[in-house]
Amino acid sequence: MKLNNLLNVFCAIALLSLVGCSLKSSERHHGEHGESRKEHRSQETHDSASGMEAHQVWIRATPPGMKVSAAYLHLMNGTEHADALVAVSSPLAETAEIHNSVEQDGMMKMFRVERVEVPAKGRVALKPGGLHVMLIGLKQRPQPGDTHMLELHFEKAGRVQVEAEVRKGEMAMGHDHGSGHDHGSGHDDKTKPDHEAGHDGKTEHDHGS
Amino acid sequence: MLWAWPVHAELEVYDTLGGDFTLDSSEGRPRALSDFSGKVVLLFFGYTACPDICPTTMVRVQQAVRRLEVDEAAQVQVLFISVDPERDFLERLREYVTYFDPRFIGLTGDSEQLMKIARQYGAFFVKDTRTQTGAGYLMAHSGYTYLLDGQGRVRALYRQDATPAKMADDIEELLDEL
Repeated sequence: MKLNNLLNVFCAIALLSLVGCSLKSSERHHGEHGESRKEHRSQETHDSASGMEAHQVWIRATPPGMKVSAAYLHLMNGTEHADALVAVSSPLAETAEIHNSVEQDGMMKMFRVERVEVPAKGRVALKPGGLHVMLIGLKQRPQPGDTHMLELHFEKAGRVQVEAEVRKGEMAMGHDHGSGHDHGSGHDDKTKPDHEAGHDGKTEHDHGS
Repeated sequence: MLWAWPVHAELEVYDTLGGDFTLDSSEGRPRALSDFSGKVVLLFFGYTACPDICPTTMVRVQQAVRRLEVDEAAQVQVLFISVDPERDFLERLREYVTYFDPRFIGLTGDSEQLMKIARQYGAFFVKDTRTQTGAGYLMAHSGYTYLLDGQGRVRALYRQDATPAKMADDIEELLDEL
């Protein structure tokens, strides 16, 4: 890995092209239950007016003293119109930024992303090791079982509030609560098709080699 | 002849990578890699202010170790090398690694030491001052996790998509060699 390659990588984040139409509304969250996997599945938000759904919304629990964490979610756009997630905010953190982690030639880099396009009838996964919401300046320590609000700002659908549960890790669920089911690899397999929307490919044009 | 066939041919020795080193540890005293001779070591580079990749790797490594039998896990040492000594004081490092597992050890040192070790392992890290973020600076760093055998030799490199199951299988293979 050459240094100049690496520096190149830091340079640009290409903006996604923008298509869309006007949608409005706010979103409700429902489906809190006591237990893990069931809860995981039920953790969906849905809004019939905007057609934008958020699933598997969670925030990474942190060790004591940490100032940053990450939030993850799957977005599904049920409408005929492309939309884009352009900002996120949360009372948990002073600021939140959308970032993307990219692995290339063994190097991990993180980029700030201006917008995450959610294609018409399409879906995008913000998941560990890829797109995520970086929560900066934590006002309290996110601990497993806590819930915190996230406000998602969409270009067209406007502001949508979702509730995120704090978890130690996405894949830990497979270990802690599952059996005969490797949630770790299962999750990866399941979410890969999400990228058929081509999102990852569009956000970074700056791979260093 | 069948009897001469190597049982575990797939985990070859990466003889151009690796080597001993000594760093300050989250245990409060310097530790050398060779201190863990006779154990299988999982080693990776990162920093505690890393919100996504490092905890993801941590969880994956933790799951790999949890897949092992208790006596097997006792022969495995996870080492997290912080490449951000400016912010990762030993106490913070200790809080960080032990949050994932009390047996994990965090290591760090000055930039020169870390650079040298990174070179030994074909790893890389750099402070990313280009990405503007409200969280101070980020670090770009190698995403590989290294599997070392009981002699401290690199036997496998894992990318971010490696599953805990695969890592656990490989660990067991190296434990069989001990």
